[in-house]
This record gives sequence, structure tokens and C-alpha cells, in this order.
Amino acid sequence: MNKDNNIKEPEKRAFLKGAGLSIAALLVGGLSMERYAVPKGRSVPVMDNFPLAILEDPNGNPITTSEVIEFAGASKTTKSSPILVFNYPLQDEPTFLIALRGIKITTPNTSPSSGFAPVPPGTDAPMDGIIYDSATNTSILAVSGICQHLGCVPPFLDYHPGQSVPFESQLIGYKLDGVGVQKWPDYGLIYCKCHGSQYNPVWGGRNLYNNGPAASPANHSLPQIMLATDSNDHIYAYGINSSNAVIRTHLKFPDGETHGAGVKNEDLTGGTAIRQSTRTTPTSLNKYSVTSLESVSPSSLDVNQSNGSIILYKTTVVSNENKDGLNWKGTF
Amino acid sequence: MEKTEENNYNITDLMKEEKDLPEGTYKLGFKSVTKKGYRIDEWTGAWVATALIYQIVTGIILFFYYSQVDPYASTQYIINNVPFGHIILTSHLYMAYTMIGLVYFHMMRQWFVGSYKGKFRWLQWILGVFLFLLTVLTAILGYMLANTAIAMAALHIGLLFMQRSVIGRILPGALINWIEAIIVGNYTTTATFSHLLALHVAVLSTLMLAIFAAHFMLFERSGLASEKVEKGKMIPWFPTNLLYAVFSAIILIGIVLIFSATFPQTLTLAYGSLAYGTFPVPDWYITSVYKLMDVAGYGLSTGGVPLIIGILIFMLIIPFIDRYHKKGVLERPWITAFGIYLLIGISVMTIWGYSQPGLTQTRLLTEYMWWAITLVSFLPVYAMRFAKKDGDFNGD
Repeated sequence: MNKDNNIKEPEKRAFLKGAGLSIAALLVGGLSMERYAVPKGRSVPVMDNFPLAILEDPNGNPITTSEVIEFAGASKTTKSSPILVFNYPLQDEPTFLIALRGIKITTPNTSPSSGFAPVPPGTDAPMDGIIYDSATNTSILAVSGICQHLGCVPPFLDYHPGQSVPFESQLIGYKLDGVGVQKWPDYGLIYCKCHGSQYNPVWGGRNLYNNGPAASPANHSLPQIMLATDSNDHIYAYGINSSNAVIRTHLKFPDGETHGAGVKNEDLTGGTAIRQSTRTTPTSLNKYSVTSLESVSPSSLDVNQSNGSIILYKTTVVSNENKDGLNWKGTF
Repeated sequence: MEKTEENNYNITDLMKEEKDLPEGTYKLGFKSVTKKGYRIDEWTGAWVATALIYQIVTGIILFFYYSQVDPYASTQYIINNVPFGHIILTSHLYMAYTMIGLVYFHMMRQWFVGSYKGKFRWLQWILGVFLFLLTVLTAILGYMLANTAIAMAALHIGLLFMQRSVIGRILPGALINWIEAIIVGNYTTTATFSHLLALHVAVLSTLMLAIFAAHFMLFERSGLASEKVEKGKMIPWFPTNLLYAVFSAIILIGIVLIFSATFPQTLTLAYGSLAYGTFPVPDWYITSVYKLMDVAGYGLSTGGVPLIIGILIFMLIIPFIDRYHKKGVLERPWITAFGIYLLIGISVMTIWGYSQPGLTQTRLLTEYMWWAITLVSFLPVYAMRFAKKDGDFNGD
């Protein structure tokens, strides 16, 4: 074949060398071009701190703790309860609002680095960032609705109460009357139908259950969204309890898996801010710290501000059904 | 069994005129073939090309009405308000399914026949593997465009696959950031859909069309792998070949249209909707990949993703590692056996992924399954080869 080819060998070799070098140079040069090619808004936080957001129903009225408990409170005997979801901290970042009757969710007494053993509810104080109604012994908990395995969202990731064992989880052995690890827990699980990740809402911020479906990347709980109430019983979200877990869809790889305070900057990159509210910011909020219920000024919560004043955001809580005269059906 | 032709690795020869033509003449495409060239299995590529052209035509019509600002509502508008919108959208979907199925069929046919050998067919095969990848990627992007819940789950999963797997761990962070920015921009909803739309209708599809043109011209240059040019036996390209192509295209489009009219596509749950009950499963051409991530049983980084990259690299280099000098299925035993292995593996993964999407497998079951498939694909091929040689020997 080569005898028909009238390009001389050395010339051909030089050409190939030149072509190879040019391609290599282009590749290296292309890498350095990355910061010009990537949109400027990328990797820049949408806001500096987590937003303080008031939870509203689809009609624009603030929701109250008693409405949530009436509407969606799940107990050990519940077969089905409405799913409540709102976007937080950014748009398209669904968060579950779950109310559990007859239980006080308490702070885990192990540190995040020492495994994920369950902490049974006891006499401890309610967990930081939940709303606990002592009159009815009910806990209201908000956890991220973005699965920590591969980012599936509601309705694929969904809370199934104690009396409802989803078909997909039966395939991996869960039974209503099972024994040990086969038993569907009393208060059920947040179960992901994409690949079978399981999270136990009773465990609060340390909710990863049975080690999840895949290897290490799934060994993370659903991040807990911090909740507080005001004097009118309205509900506010004011941050993420990053001591347990952080929203992993926004972490940059590699080197992105940081926990703690630094996580805010990473979390809030890429996306759209939730809408601002025209309501006035409450002067004080009631929240559970690790020890007890306390009244705090919103300015002490380290939420997003502009020129020294707190910006109040709003986010809509939607449900899959209308019940008890509450018209909350909608899309998040 | 006939011997294979030699590969020609000097691609500058492509620029030269063909020897059987008068000096100074160049000829592009449209060769005449013998009667044997009209056998139906020689036309698998023509059907894929038909599907591609149909997708372009219907895609342009859909592009007139689709809006990336309001993806789900504009898809509903196409279904409910655009004249013939529902059947165009459905047939665009079904033709995409058909196209992927035909690409598999076309590819495996060439694999078993060994028609990636000789002349420039090695290059044609490599371009074909890229076309296969582009077809599947374009399909996945198209499936995301409607902003259904399953589509957004697929987008999240895709992005996280890239970050979590070897791709994200080995490639420099800047490059991953760049790839993500290409797919979703700065991740706002509008930016995401603008990017997905541009990639689907312009970038990947244009790339596919360009590579297809090169793939097709190489075919016209190398000719059919299974026949020799014989003077006096060639049937002129016009009108026989043209009419044959048009008729087979009409039949294929007709079948797809009948299916589209009988089973019109229903749009699944919009992203952001909440519902209990049963959920859509990913499209069938993704479920095999999806299931592999479970079934490999070794996690994403060490299991599924490297496995898929490995299979793709293997497919790219197959014209060079196939050292058998003869054509024919039993003359190239381990290539044939591996082809069967892939066929069974992909089918099993697809059906399994479709029927039990959220079920994690144990490593033991995984091992049993892969070894069983290996046995089922390799043993019969070598046994038949032995039997055939034995028969040939006794016959002599």
C-alpha cells in the first residue's frame, strides 16, 4: 500500500509529530480555557447564607404547626399520609415536611464520624431544628427530599408510614410483621424507589437506615432542614444542620465533600433563589436548641441578609392530595 | 470459507481516485451491487438511515412548537393543540426506539458476519461505535426535554454518575465542571433546558449527521463486505437501488406510524408533582446501564462505570484484535461467543432493569449470573465449531 504513497517517510513522520503535538497543546490549552467557557454564575453562591423562609400553602397563606399535624401527622397505625414538600434552600431542591405523632425526636448521642447507629427516642430534649408539640407529643421534622445516593427526588423518594410497606421494599425483604432487619419500622421509612435507599425519619438528622443500596457514596443521611416557629404558630426554615449531612447534589468533585460551616458556600451554588416574601420579618422566633425551647432573634440565626437587614423568603408547601378542607395540592 | 480482505490503514488513499475508473475521475457514493446485495440483511444500515432522516423531519416540526421556557406545558400543547401533534410526537419517540433497536441489530449483524474487515471498514466500524453512542445520548437528552419527574431523576443521576464514578474522580475537576456546564449551564431551570435542547437538536444531532455522512461514504468506497464486484452482474443503482431504498423506508415509517396511531404516547408525571402509586421506569435502552450499576455489585467506581467504559473500548478496537483470517461465524469463535455474551447480557440487564428497577442484587447472585451467561455463550460456539470440523473431516 505504501509504495503508492508518494509522501516521503521522514516528512510523514514530521507531519504526524506536528499533528500530535498540536492536538496535545489544544487539549492542555482547552483545560485552561475552562474558566472562560463556563458561565460566570456557575460556582458562585446564589446567596451568602441559607435563607430565612416562611412556609406558605399554595394559596399564599402561612401554614401553622397545628395544620401540619392535623393534615399530615402520621402515627404507628397510619396506612397513608399526605406527602408535604417545599423547596429549600433553592428552587428545585425539594424538602419533606413530616409530622410524627406520639414521638419525640431527640438528638443523636454519637458523633457523625462514628457510624450511623440508631438513637432510640428517650427522655432527652427534642432535636435541634425540629418543632416539638408537647401537648400532642408530636414532632415536625424537615429533611431534604434529594436522595443522597444518586439524587432522585419525590415522588420516587417518598415517606411511607408504619403500615405501608412499598412493593419495591418488599422485594428486598421488608415485611410488615418481619423480624429484625426485615421489619418495616414502626414509623416506616423514607424509601427511594430508584435504587432502594432507606432513611428513618425517627432518627432525625442521622436518618440513614440499613446502609443504603450502594457502597460508600450512599452512607449519608438526608440533610435536616432547620425549622422554627413564631408567635402566630407559623413555620420558618432557616438553614441546614450540616453536622449530620449536606445536600450532595451541589458538592463539587473532587475535594467537595466538606462538612461544617464551609459547606454553605458550596451548597448554594448553581440554581435559582426561592422567591422573596413581602411579609415583615418576625422579631423573634421559637426554636429548639439541643437543650430546650428558646426564643431567639432572627438576626442571631446566621441567615441571608442584605445591608444588615434580614431578607425574608417564602416557599410553598405542596401536597399530593387535598384533605380536611385544606387545599394544598400542587407542584413544588 | 472465504478469506478476509486486507485492511487499508492509509487514509490518504481515500483522497485518491478509484483504480477502475478513468484517470482524473472521482466518484462519490451510489455503487451498483449484484443481486446478492439486495438480500434483506445487507439493508440494516439503510433502515437506520431512514430512522435518522425521519427523526430529523419530525424533530424539526416538534422544534417549531417546543419551548424550553415551559417544557412540560409546551409538550402538552404539542399533544393537544398542534395538528397531528400527538402522532408526530409519538412517532418521534417510537422511531427513536426503533432506531436504537436497529442500531443494535445493524451492529451485531456486522459483528457476527465480520464485515468490519478489509479496506476502510475498520474506520467505518469505529465511526459506527461513535454513532451508536451519539444515538443513545441524543435519545436520553430527548427524553429529558419534556421535564417529567423521571426525566429530571435521569438528569440528576447522570450528573452524579459523572461526579461519583471514575469519570469524576480521575478527570481534572475543571474538566468535569466544564462538562457539567455544557449540560446544564449554571443549573437554573431555564439554563438547563436551553442547554439540553441545544445539545439535542443542534450539537449531538449535527455531529451524528456528519459522522453518518462519513460512515456512509466509507461504505460506498469499500463496498459490500460480502460480495465481489463482477462485471456484467451488477444491477444499476438507478432505479433499482433507489426504489428499493424508498420502498423499504416507506414500509419502516408505515409500521412506526401504525404503532404510533394504535398506542399514542402518554406523557408521564410532571417534575414537581407528588403522587403515590406506580412510577414510570426509565426507557428500555437505559435500563441495561441502570441495572449494571446494581448488578456489577462492586459500586459505581469499581463496578458499573469502568465495566461500560471497558466494553466500549473493546468495541472500538475489535477490528484490530480480531486476528482470524477467515470470515464466518464459526471461523471466528471467540468473537462470535463474545457477541452472544453481549447480546444475552444486554437483554438480561434490560429486562431485569425494567421489571425490578429499585432492587439491589447480592454479589453472589451477580457472579452466578455472569458466569452462567459466559458459559451459555462460549460453550455452544466452541462445541458447534468442533462438531462442524468433525463433520467436515468425515465428509472429505
